[in-house]
Amino acid sequence: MKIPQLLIQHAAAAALVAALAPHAVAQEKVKFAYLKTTTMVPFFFAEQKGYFKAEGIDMEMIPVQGGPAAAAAVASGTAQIGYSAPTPIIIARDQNQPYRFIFALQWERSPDQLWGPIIASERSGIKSFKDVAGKTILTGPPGGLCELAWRDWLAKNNIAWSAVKVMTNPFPQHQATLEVGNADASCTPDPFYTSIKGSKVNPVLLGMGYLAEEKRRYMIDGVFATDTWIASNPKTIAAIKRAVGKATRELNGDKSIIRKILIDEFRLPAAVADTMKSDYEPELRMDAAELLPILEALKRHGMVKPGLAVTDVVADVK
Amino acid sequence: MHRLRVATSILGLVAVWQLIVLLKWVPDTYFPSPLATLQALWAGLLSGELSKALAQTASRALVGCIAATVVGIGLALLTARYRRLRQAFDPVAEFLRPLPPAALVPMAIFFLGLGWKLHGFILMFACLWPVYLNASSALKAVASVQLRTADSFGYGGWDRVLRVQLPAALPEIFIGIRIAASIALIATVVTEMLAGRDGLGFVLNEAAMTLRIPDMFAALLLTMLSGLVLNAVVLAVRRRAVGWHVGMTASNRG
Repeated sequence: MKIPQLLIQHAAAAALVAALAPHAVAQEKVKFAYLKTTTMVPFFFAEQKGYFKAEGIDMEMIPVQGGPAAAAAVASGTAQIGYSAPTPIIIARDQNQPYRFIFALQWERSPDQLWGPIIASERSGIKSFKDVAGKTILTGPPGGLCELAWRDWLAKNNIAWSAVKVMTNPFPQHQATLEVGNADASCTPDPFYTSIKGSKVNPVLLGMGYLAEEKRRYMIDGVFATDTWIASNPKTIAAIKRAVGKATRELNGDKSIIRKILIDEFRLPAAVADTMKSDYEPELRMDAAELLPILEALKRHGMVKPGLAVTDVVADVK
Repeated sequence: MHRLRVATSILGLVAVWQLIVLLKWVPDTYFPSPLATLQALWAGLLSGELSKALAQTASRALVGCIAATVVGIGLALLTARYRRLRQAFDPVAEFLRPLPPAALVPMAIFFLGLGWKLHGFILMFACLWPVYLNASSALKAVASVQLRTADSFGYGGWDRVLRVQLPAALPEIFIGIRIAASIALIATVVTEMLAGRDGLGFVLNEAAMTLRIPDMFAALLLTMLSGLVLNAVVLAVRRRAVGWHVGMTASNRG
């Protein structure tokens, strides 16, 4: 009979075409609420080069205005993962918000890997921490790393928190605030610190590092997600890790790409971009021990409850 | 003559601006000259960054203003028709309207996300009250002779509200719409600054975070110009809708 033969031939042809056709990778949609900082360059580059797509991830990078905005974006479901400094996420976890870090992106370690400067303006007359009592200090966003830095450095120098007047201006306003004399000292990270160095503020460096005289290595920013998303997406997390790892190796081999992204995409002035440090770890990872110094400092200064464990804030990422 | 006065005022403002820069009352790092600002504005428009941001902000403000106008007038008509509804709703309006919309943004992000729903909620909240309160007050204040005339012609219920009270109240309603239009632009820019992903507010904030002060001023200037255009649009619509009133008040002034 001809009809069954025709059917068999057509079925065989269809099977052959299906076998030979390239396997279409199902794209997992991931929205990432991020800030345009140097630590985000590998993610940006991976997205540009299609490394996420190659791993089956449809990554949408959503720029936000700060760590709290990233946390709000993740909480509302606008984004699945977010970028933040550790303190807002630890404080949120302390308030029973279900966030955990999945990757660390940047670290500090004494003496040569310190990024958080505590400075005073020349006009303030402050020469060391002992002179800060009674003065006005700038901390940046409340609950941020800079507030923790100030608390830690002041405590190390036996100055009570109540002995200083605290202002919480956004970082871009620190230079102007110091220059006109509304504040005397600040914790101002890059790129704003680089700009201040070349200004009429003529800063005096009081201390470097977000934790005073901490010898252990500790993370200062990372990528976080909710407990539910982390539990449901281990393969996606691994795929993100591979894509960013590939981008990082390429960037570490050619620093000019980093500079180009900072100037062209992140719109930093060239003079500032040239001073930004950019050595990326070859692989994304999360080590609970590296969040511990920050958590201990937060507890020390009463910014979180004593019972919060580091394992409550860190995902077990393979 | 009027146009000459307007041009003189604006040039005077620019002259004061340039004088502040020349005298260095504010460090020029934070207060660029008019020329530097115009250069940044031109560069931003040419590159498409500012024109795209302008289109996003202007469309949000316009849509928000229109939506608030429709809802505000609709609510005012309902409360004009049903006295008990007005007695129930007015205290709620007085309670809610002093809330600054910017204060609602951080809370609203959590249940509305960072997209159009957030913008829609903030814009509606910010713009509804001036339209509703002006419309409600205007509908109540329609001259009693007009209302009695309507009654004598057998108009009742919705006929009276829609055919007599609403046309009489339109001039004052447009005052509320003009106020709402300005508020719409402010609320849009503020929301974009606090929680936006695009628009003039986002560009403003991003320029500040990357220390591009002339670009920040360019975005501010464009925001101001948008306000003028939005106001002109509302005035044009007002002339079409209540041109009779505009002409009447002009002739009363002589």
